[in-house]
Amino acid sequence: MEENRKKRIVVIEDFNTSRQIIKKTLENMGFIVDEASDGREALMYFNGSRIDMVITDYNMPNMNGAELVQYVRQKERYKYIPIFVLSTETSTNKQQKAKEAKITAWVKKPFDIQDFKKLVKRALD
Amino acid sequence: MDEYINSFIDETREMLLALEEDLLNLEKGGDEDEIIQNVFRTMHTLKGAARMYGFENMESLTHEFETLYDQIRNRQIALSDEIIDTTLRGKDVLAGMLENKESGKQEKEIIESVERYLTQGQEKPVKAPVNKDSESSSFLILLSPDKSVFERGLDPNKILDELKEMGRHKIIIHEPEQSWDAQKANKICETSWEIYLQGKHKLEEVKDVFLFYDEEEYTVLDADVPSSFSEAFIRSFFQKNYREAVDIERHTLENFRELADLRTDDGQMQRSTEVLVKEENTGSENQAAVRSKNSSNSTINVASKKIDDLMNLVSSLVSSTAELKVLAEVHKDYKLNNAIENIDKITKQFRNNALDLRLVPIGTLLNKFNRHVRDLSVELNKSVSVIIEGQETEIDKTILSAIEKPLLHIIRNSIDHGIESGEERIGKGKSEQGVLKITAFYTGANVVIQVQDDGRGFDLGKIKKTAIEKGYLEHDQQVSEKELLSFVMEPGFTTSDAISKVSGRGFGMDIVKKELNAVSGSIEIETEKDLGTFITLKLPATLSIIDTLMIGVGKSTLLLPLPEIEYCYQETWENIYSGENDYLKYHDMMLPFISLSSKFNSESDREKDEMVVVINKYDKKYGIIADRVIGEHQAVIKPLGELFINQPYFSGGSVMVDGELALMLDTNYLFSQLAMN
Repeated sequence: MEENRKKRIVVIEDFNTSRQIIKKTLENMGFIVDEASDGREALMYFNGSRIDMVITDYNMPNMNGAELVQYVRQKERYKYIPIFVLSTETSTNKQQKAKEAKITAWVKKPFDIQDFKKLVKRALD
Repeated sequence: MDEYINSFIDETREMLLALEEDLLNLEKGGDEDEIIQNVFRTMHTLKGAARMYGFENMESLTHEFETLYDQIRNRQIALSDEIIDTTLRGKDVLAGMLENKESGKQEKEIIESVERYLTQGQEKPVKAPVNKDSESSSFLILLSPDKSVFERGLDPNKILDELKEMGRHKIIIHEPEQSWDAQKANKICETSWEIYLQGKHKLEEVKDVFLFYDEEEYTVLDADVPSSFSEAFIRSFFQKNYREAVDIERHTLENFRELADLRTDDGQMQRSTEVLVKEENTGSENQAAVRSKNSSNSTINVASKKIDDLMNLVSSLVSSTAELKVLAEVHKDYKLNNAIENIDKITKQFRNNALDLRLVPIGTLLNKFNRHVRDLSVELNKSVSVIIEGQETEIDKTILSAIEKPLLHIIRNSIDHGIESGEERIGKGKSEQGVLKITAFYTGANVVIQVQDDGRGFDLGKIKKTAIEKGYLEHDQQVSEKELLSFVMEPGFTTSDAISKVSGRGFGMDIVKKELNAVSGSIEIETEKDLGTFITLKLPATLSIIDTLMIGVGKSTLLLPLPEIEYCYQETWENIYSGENDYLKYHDMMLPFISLSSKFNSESDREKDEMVVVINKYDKKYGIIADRVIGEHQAVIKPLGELFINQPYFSGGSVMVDGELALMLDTNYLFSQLAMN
């Protein structure tokens, strides 16, 4: 019964073009996408309604990715959903850092769309 | 890219026609090799093009066929009439995809058939009495996720499921005292796994499964190339999981040998074993069978009274826990708070599980309508086909019972008044048979049920005439379609000249609306002359316990449903009340608002700032001005007694921790008040 339900992903990214590409990609994969241009704007989505995944940029005005993740993870409803943080940073051990930040993965920008799709699929399947 | 999409569609259509011709020739016995090559090439080209233009389902289907025909041309699989037939059906589905036709079921069947052909082709080498073929490789995989793995949105079970798919395997589960199910419920992972895997995958592919895991949580080692692993992790893994010293090399070897025994055991093609090792006892027991039984989908019937009793208990438990939490906060006792936090967590899970018990698939109700529609259409001498989608959508049993009558009424209306007689339909150029479609699906915390017919639609002119006659409207008053349709739901409003036997007059749209409101649902009607009517019901998926926001006005505490709240902020008294209109500037929009203190005649303090709560209900936004925002509250909402029956503002009440009553504001009603101003 889960299969027929479209999954909902919230995408937060301040750079409009990137956000649209991500949105389009996810929509083509059959997801419902809600978008926001910074962390603060995204807060309205976390009002108790169902969200299956969050993909957020790291560096953003008003409320950055880390602050947003902290806020989202505080809410019981969103404690265990997959979260991707997009960042240009190159770190040697990204999964280690993801573990500390309680997120599913750091995704390095720019990314290959096919790789990105694979990551999303793996996180949600 | 959009401008190219039409040419892509045209070109694809041509290719599909050529493909069909090829296949028909193949069936007649044309030049097999050449045609097979053609089919393969067509599928390959289509796959590439589909990918470029974002036709994902097309891409995956053509991919399947490409693989199949690749193996056919390499003579790994023999071409059969059945395969040609499946390909022809596949071609039809592909053509449908170009027009965005829904063909999910057919597509799935075809993919399944193709996959069956493919595996049949593969089974040959497996049956050959070879002990070890060179293509397969063996891996030892150790997985010991961090305790907080769930909090990263991960579930180790997914890893295991994926590994199990990859080949023959033996899994040794190292489980602490707490069972895996309990760990999952508490969201603390303390289990480790030892996986022995033999399959045709490459090391990189196996490692890929662990994409989201840190190197300190797993290791994959190629047993044929023993130096390929992190020795430190393996040592610490075995030390942690086996209290007694284990000769790692021997232990590993024995397990691989067991796996090898599995594969030569030709009588039973056993693929896997699972061994559960409790950390406390050394004896291992095979619980794999027990596990798989647990996950089977059997159901039991329980008297609804028992569930209601359970719900009441859970409700009390939720309230008491909240009370306990408040009391404990005063003491600032770390240990006490920790214990209470745990109870709170379990209570919440308990609540969710109990709520789940009440959920039933909507199909149990919708399928009943099939019969009604049939009987009705016979009675009215109309031909109607029913399409029901989303039967598996789950909804609270109470709500399901509450909507049965309203829904039936809507359906009767559609067939009686909406769908025309066969002759009339043919006269309008429609098919003789009318269509009634009922769809159910989730949006957020809501369940939506849509009833759609392709009948004559509401007669807006007639509605307007009646509205004027009844005094709802002035003769020359401008009125929107939406407003006109809202009259239909006014008590006693009917445009029908005669009382029809089927729809009758006893149960009008006003009652439909009322009954839906009683379960916090709403109704929306869209209609188009001669095209049909589209009725949307929005319902909450569960009742009883809801997350609310407590706000204060004067001396009273009021509740608002949390999912409907978009934002809260502080605003000065002047900014709210000194403007000429009842609007606030919020982001880029003018937000209409209602001030509760003026509504309920309580004094508001000019010196203090007010709180603005922005409500967003079904994409309509408005503000509610309160004196204070107190915080979140899990409310057990009970209906209000006789005393309140005539007031429209509140939809229920909840007894607070301190014994006081908090009233739940009816956001629908508040909005309708705003709309009227």
